[in-house]
Amino acid sequence: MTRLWERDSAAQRDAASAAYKSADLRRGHLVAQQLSLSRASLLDLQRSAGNSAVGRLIRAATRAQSTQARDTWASGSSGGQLVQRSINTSGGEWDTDKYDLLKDVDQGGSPLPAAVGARGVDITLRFKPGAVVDAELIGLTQSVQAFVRGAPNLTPAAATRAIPAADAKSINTGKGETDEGTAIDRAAGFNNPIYPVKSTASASLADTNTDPGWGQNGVHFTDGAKTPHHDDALLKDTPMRAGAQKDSRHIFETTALATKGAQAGTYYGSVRWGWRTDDKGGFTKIALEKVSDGVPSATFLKAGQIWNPGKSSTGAENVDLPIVDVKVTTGPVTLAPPVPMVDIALPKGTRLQMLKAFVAPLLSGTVKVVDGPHTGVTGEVSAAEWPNIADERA
Amino acid sequence: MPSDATDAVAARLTEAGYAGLFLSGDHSSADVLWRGGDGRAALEEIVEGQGYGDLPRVLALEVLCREEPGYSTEGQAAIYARALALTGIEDGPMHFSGNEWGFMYHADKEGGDPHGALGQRLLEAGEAAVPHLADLLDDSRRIYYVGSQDATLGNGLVYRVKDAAAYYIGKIAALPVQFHQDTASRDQEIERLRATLHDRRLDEHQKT
Repeated sequence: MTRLWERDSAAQRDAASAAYKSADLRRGHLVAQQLSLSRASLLDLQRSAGNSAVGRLIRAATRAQSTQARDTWASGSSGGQLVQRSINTSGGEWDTDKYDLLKDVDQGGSPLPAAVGARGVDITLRFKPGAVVDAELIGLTQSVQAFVRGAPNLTPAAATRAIPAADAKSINTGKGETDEGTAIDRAAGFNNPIYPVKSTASASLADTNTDPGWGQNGVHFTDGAKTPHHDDALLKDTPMRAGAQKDSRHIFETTALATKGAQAGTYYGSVRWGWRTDDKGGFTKIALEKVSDGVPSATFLKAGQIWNPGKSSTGAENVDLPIVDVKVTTGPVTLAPPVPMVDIALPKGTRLQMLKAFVAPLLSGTVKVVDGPHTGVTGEVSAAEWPNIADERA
Repeated sequence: MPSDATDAVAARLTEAGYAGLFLSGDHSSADVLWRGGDGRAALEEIVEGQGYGDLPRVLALEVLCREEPGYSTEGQAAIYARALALTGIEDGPMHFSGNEWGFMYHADKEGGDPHGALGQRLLEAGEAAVPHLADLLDDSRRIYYVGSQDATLGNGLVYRVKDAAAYYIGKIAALPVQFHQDTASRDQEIERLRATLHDRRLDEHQKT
């Protein structure tokens, strides 16, 4: 089994870290594509020439392409004209086969009266598992949040399992927005959080009874006869709301989860998508963007915590999602991975899974990075720096 | 005689709508109107007062039913049948989504929630709902589902008010109603159901 942190050298990871901290990273990837540079080549260049030199190259090339770049990366401002680029997370690549706005029509294109205020999107989201993945089954699961005219607007199913206002935390979707009302997204009467599963009384995340109209499970592994198996995971959704002409939003976080095989229980990263209307009636897609490189966000995990003890509307116990106890660095924390890897200074806000909590008289605790450029790296954190790790939703 | 206070409750019901009353999480306002039971009299006045119109009457009854499990009233069957009529979309705001009626035929065959909250009320109303539902067998307006997967599944079924009416008549009266993808075949099935209901009424008259 390939461990996620083994895919890059320590120097590459450090370079990636610097790059991820740079505001030019996305443009860097764009420029790398334009110059036919691989991501690894860009990182190599960054390592040899330095961040500032690469940054100057990126800025010069970006100025020349400024119009195209604006069209490409403007976050929803170009509405239906948005050009989507693929997103890489720890386990693979995300992209959309289809991502279209739906206004005053249903998903079949049949017109709906304008006064109904129907807004939504038609999306086919694809997760292409990468070489580091070793899973006999990969399921896509997602959380959803919907607001209509500034207020939470839940489906009957979501109303039974949404994050309550008292537990809501600020999120980076928009000014003043929180994760209130976010819930694991399944239709009423379904108890498996893996979106394409059509069994209504499912017993396992590894349920293969899927509806092609909702997508498919993925796979990426090599069997005992050395035969490689690969299939992308797909999610097909047409989320819609009524009365949503203004001040409304419908935001999703989709994550890929190994549900069978050597890495079962591993999250491979998550992406955000959806749509929103503004106070003037402007209607835009939310650009597909990375939320996490590994374990999905605190919002998703909170929604999962609420989902797990619940039942579907037809009375079946929900199939549990893996819930990772994630903490976050609030100050300087140096991660000491196993030899020969070098120590890593983790940026503030790095998300960590607790593998062995520090308890006196131990000298350190053990953590695993679950998001960002060091995703998958396990190491020790000293007792002195342990107080700089706090609960993610504190 | 309805008071100004009752009129105000009716206005608040209409303004909040079904979603505002029950589907806004912690902002849902049903409890505010129920007021720990102090709101009961005004809500009952609205349910009984035909002058209030269908929407506030449905909403008032639904608040009563949710706040006081087992609550029932004589007009319940007619009022929930009107809720189904109000679900049909036209050139105005949507009052109820298809989600409140479940996935009906599809769920019976493939799984999922078959009835939803309001469909369950119709089933509880029993035979008294059948003539009111029969009045909807000509209503071709679309039922629209909201949500994510609920919308994907529900709107793909392209249900109309009369498809839902036929479904619930079939469930309540234990009459088989087949679902067809094409609307012409559905309409033929509805005509067959209508004829069966007519024959049933004749039989009942003859027995009495």
